[in-house]
Amino acid sequence: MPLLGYAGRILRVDLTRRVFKTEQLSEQLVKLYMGGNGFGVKILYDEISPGIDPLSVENKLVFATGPLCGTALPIAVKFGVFSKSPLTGILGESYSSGFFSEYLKRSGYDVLIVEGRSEKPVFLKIIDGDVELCDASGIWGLTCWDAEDAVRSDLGEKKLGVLTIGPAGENLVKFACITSDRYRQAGRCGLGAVMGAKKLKAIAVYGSGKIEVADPEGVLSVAREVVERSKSARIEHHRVYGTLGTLEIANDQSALPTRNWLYGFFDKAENVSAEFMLKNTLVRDVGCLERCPIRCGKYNVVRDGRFKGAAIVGPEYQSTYALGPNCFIDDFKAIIKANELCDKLGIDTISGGCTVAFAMECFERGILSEEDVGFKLRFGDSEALIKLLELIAYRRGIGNILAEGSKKASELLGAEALAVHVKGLECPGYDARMLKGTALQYAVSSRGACHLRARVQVPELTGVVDRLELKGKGKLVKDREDLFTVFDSLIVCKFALPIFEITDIAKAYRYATGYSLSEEEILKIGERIVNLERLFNIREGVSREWDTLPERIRTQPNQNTVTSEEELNIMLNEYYKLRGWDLETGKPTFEKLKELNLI
Amino acid sequence: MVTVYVEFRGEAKRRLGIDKLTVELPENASFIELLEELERKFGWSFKDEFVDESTGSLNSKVVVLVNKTPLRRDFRLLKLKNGDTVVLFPHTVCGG
Repeated sequence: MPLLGYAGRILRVDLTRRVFKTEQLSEQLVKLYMGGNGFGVKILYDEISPGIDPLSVENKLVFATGPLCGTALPIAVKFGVFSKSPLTGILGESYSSGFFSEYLKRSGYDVLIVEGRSEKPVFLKIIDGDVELCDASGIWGLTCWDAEDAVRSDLGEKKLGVLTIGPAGENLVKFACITSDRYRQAGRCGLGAVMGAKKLKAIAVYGSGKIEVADPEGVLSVAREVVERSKSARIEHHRVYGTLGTLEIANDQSALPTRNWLYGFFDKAENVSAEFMLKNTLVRDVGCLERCPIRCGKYNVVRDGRFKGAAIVGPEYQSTYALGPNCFIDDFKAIIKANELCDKLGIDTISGGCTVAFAMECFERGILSEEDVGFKLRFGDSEALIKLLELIAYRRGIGNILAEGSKKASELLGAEALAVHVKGLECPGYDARMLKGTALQYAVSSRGACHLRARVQVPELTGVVDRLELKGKGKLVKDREDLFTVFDSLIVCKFALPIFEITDIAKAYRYATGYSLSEEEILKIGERIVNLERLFNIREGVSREWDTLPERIRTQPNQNTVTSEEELNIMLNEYYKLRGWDLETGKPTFEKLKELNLI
Repeated sequence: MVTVYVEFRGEAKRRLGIDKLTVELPENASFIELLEELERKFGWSFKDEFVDESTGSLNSKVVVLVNKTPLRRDFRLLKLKNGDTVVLFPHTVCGG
């Protein structure tokens, strides 16, 4: 009996032995873990040993799709990448959109597992189920964009999903990203460095097979509803402003981290706002695969000045925060240029921008000198930002230390108090002093400081909940983590939540797979995956002490407000109790693991 | 009378062509009364834009800040005070 909604197979590529193997997707894996996030974590938990070096031959990279990917649902165009993170040493996961997801499934595979390590640079070609490892010596050293162009030209096939790494991935920069179809990235956790360590420069996929679903008409009806609802005012603002529309809302609440998190308010925010973008650089709106009706992507081009010609889909809100206000830079065109550079070199914009901001503060405080850096590294200097990003990507000079990420770099420089990260992952752009639930989600999220696992900043910034209240934040984070883990397992874009709620998920999942699950049963899958992620991290040494906040958030006031250790502990206790985790150790209890079929 | 400072963001700023305004309101004026006053001044349907008529609560597609704090969706008990600053976003958090 075929698994409906799934291609039904896993492709395993051993780069050391240059061997490909196809395995059947088991019904048990599907029923317990759904797809995407669930598959990625389960495979890593089962297949890699604790304590391995993330850049060693023992680590694996899992690329996973979900049961809604490749169906008529236009918001299901994403894939997830999973590995042990070289940046954090714990679970690494990141998501992106692009043709990779649909074509991998149409090529007959739900999941691609890459293991081992090639001696020479290679790129992986998967065309309608045929797998080939090709020599990539000629494209090693190229930027993500040039490498992608070369792969497309070499294969002579326009319809391809192409993933690449840039010089940062090749040079094992710990926050190197994986680029998808030029303009999108699986940015976080340094998974591009894992590809680089395996000497895998690119993956190109095309598939023309059909994805069988249980009820095609049902899937189509949900897709039509989503498209119709996307025209409503609830989603219209995404199309108009893109993610950058959040910037002024955050800034007006002193929740926009500025100058390496010294402040939460940027007095020149207007210069880097969505309004500025609309007036000066926006060319057109972009929907993922030109299919997603939300169209939150913004194609921007710098038309004049020093950075004339820079062009990207973006900058997103997070990239703007990290490369702009957090480096005290208010030149939006410079931010576009720096973002373009990150995209070409293959650097995560959040970690990249935050690591530069950390280095700028080290310079201002005399921890780094002009001799150390090679130039003046003052806050607000966009030329210095751009120069430093290049040094990092190629590990030249001071860039070699900063390429380790702000946690490790701060340890090497004796400046731990200035590094703003949780578990080694640099913090996203929502000030965790002003948003208490956001502080909790940064502290407990399985990949380190993450704003996407629970998206608690949304109800906090919009007045749905009291942003400074502690009580109830444990429940808010727990419930939303379970829900968004389901989104990441289907895989559906989280921005679709206002037009694709849990009732729609239950319907779409049933129409795609034929499995009729209640909303409660679906959320239970999310809870199971969150707990398995926790088990993975506990195996790597994570405990309650790790669920903490950067010193700057705990002790440096923003508007006379910090999120103290005591406050965090109140929220952590509530969260742990609801999760069924031991209050002292942070480990899931035996009863909880039994309830979730995890033992 | 109380003096309230109003700031417009996004579409409101673009349509009205100004970003700030000082408004005089009666003592203990509500947020709805502020919106009604703005409607009278500009002829723009502030109430429809910001309040969900069916529930009487704040529309889910907008954000309102009173003294830098988000107005809760159920705002009916709020009375504006002299010197309050109200920031009106006709759009909400867009993600990221």
